[in-house]
Amino acid sequence: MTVIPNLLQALVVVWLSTVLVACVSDSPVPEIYPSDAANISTDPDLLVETALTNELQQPLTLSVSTRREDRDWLLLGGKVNSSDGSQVDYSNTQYQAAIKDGVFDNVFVALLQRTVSTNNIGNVFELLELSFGSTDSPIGQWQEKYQLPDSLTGMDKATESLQWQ
Amino acid sequence: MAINFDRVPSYVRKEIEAPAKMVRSGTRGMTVQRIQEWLQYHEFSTAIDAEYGPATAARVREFQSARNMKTTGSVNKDTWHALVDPMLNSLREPAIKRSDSAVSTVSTVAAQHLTQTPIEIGGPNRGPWVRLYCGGNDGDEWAWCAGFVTLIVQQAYFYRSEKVPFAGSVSCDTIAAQAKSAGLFVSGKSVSKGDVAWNDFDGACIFLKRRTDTDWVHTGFATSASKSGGSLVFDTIEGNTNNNGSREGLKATSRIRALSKNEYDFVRLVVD
Repeated sequence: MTVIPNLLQALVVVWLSTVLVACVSDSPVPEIYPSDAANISTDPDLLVETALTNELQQPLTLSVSTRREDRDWLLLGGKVNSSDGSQVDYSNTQYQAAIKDGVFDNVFVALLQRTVSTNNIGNVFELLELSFGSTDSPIGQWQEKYQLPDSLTGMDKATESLQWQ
Repeated sequence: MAINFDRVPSYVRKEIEAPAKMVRSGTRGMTVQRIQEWLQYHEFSTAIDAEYGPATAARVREFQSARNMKTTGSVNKDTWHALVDPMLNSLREPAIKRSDSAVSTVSTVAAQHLTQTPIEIGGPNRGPWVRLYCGGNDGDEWAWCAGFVTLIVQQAYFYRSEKVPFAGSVSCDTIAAQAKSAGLFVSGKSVSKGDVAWNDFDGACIFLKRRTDTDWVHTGFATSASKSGGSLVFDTIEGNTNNNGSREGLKATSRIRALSKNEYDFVRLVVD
């Protein structure tokens, strides 16, 4: 289940409030840098956490178990928990139906790319893709779309294709 | 019937082939991880850290004792085969007759896997079953419902020595695209409207759960169908789904699904 459209919407809201705060309080550099794009930050984990927090409309923490980097690409994967460490309450989310239907995995996978910020803050990460809750692997599609290196996707571990013949 | 080890892909062989040497305390690596994963599968859980320490050795002894084997705490070929026996059973050549159809063979192989309770071990989308279904890969990103379908179709056609009707993939969208290209894709609407009868599937097919017209999010086998309250319902065998009431897709199991929800499409298992 791709959540990028909702993420963009949510991050635009975050951006507007961040700009407002920056204007009135001369606050430190914000975590999200909308001058590059709404889904860019120096902190990739925070970027994903913000996206999922907005998607699920509740405070969350990430438990990252997959972190693979190759050149400018970063693949993150793991589980989400509530901010107090308990299980996420999905009862008022779109995912409740998927859970009931047996098509839900409490796992996220995110594809990010390191890029150079246009406002002199150095390297930042852009969240390109975020899959959450899916029982279907996004890897094949992402690999095709972005020509990802095998070492990033883990495809290098497979010695041959799925074909038996 | 036996597995022809020379003919199955190497990523499958890696999961089931016994190590060349005895595995004992002090050993590290993927073979040890596999042993720990299988111990967990058999409910002799220990940490899955790829290090063969005293805890792993103790669990191996318990496993050997439960199987009436010599309790050495080390893994020789016999202990290994006892550990991986469920996967060996799922991969065995199915007991099929020459007259059985390809669809029937796929159903038999799917049931053969289901009997062994393929399940994630060591975390979400992890463990030997996930690697079996995902070409040797596991990890958060390797959600495995499509891989489960692909491996079973590959296995069934392999043992029939016939060409698979589509290549398969770890992605539902790719399976849908391949099925369309091969003329095997059947929209759920055409089944609901009666343009395609369930019998036209020759007993079984693949179902694809649709999110949008170009996005399918889950798949499995539809193995039989019946009417319930005027609606068509179909029995499934599917991977990476959850137990009733649980919130985590973690095993292969059978479910019942209703066509009336208009969220399914289908893939024939044989070319007309």
